[in-house]
Amino acid sequence: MKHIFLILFILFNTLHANSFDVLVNDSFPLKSLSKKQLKSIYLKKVTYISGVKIFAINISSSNHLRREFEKMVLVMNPQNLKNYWQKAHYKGIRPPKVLKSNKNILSYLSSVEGAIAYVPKGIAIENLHVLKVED
Amino acid sequence: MRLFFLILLFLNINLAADEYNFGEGINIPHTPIYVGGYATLDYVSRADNYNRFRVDELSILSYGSNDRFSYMADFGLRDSYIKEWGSDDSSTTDSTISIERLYIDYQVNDSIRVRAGKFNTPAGYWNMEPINIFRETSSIPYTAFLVFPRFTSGLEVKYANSLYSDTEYSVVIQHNEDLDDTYNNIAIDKHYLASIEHFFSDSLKSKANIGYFFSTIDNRDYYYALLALSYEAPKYKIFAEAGSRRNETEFSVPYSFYLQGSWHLTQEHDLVTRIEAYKIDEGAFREEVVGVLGYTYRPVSPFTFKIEYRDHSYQNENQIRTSVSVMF
Repeated sequence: MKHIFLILFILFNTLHANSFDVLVNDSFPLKSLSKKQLKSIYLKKVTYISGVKIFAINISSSNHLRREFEKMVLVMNPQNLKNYWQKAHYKGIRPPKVLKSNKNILSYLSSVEGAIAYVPKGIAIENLHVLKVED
Repeated sequence: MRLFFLILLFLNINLAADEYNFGEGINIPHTPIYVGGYATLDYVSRADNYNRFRVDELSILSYGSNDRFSYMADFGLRDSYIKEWGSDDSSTTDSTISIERLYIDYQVNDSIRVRAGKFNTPAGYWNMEPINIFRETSSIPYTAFLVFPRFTSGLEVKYANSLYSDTEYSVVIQHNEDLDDTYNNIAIDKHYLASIEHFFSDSLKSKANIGYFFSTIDNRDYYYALLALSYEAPKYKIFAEAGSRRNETEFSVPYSFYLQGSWHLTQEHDLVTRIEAYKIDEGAFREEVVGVLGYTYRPVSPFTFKIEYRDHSYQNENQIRTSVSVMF
């Protein structure tokens, strides 16, 4: 019985664990963010932090990591998100920049001040660090 | 003005730097400039045998940003074609291109943004996204045009820092003529507004506004107050606004309010109900209660078809309204 609970516990945590890390470079003004704060950045409600312009990056909409990020952090389904960006278009606000591959994202993160992006968990790159995201 | 409109239309059709998402505008290659637009056709059939077909909105918008500056230019034709049937049949065309919105924003720091130009008055929620494609119904609640001027030509200073605060503040000052009063419901040359908005959660938010304006229609000072509430759940949305307007001596709009619920039956189909009531001084006081039952169909995202029945206290005004709208 004890083993069954242990297996169920591991399975539960595996299913609910993020499969992405949020990466930034040294210029990013914060060391940690709440999910709510990360959502504000990705919905472009926050564009400057401590005077640094923030550039949120998305991967292509077909990528499963993006769908997972949007579900877990933005807590919005694709249709609601589309409606949100159409209203933003009317207000002159653009969605985050889309890059097609993780390689492009890492390159962008390394070179642009204030850049922030999610990538598959465990990618370690010099000069980039994982931002702690709290619930 | 017309030349600028045609240039924007040309750019919109012929140029696109990034992948185009329908309804989200396009980028002019090698520039930070985006262009898009929106259009609406509507039809009204009233109980007193009045019928009207109208090309309601046809607008081109352009915007862009560079560092801390950004701009918005929204020019359009309003009521460019109207065909009416009733006691007198008539049709009119109007090719006047007017300024819907035209402003520059400057992001002073993390929290303060200054806007200068002509913009939607930041009162309530309805007026922030007033075009047909975003509305739940073809018609506009009385509260959204009886209480305050829908457009302001002046300055707005907004404090918002959603990283650390759930409350936003805004102050609006107009001390000049409207940049273009074609679209404004009330012609004004002075307008002051203070606004406070609080986000209780991701779903629930509320806004309070108090304002003053000088109407150049009757050369009088007016004061107004408006409260708005929005609750959005995955399957439904509730909107409510209540306001009042008075001059120096008496209430010109003692009250005006609406309560609206919209239910997402499926991703494409919405059902909308709204109850409205208002009292306005038009020499004698006019009081009315209006019930609205509507249906919205969104087969693809930036296209909507709406139909509604409006039941008025004044039965001659009972009507069916329908519209199609698109954003690009």
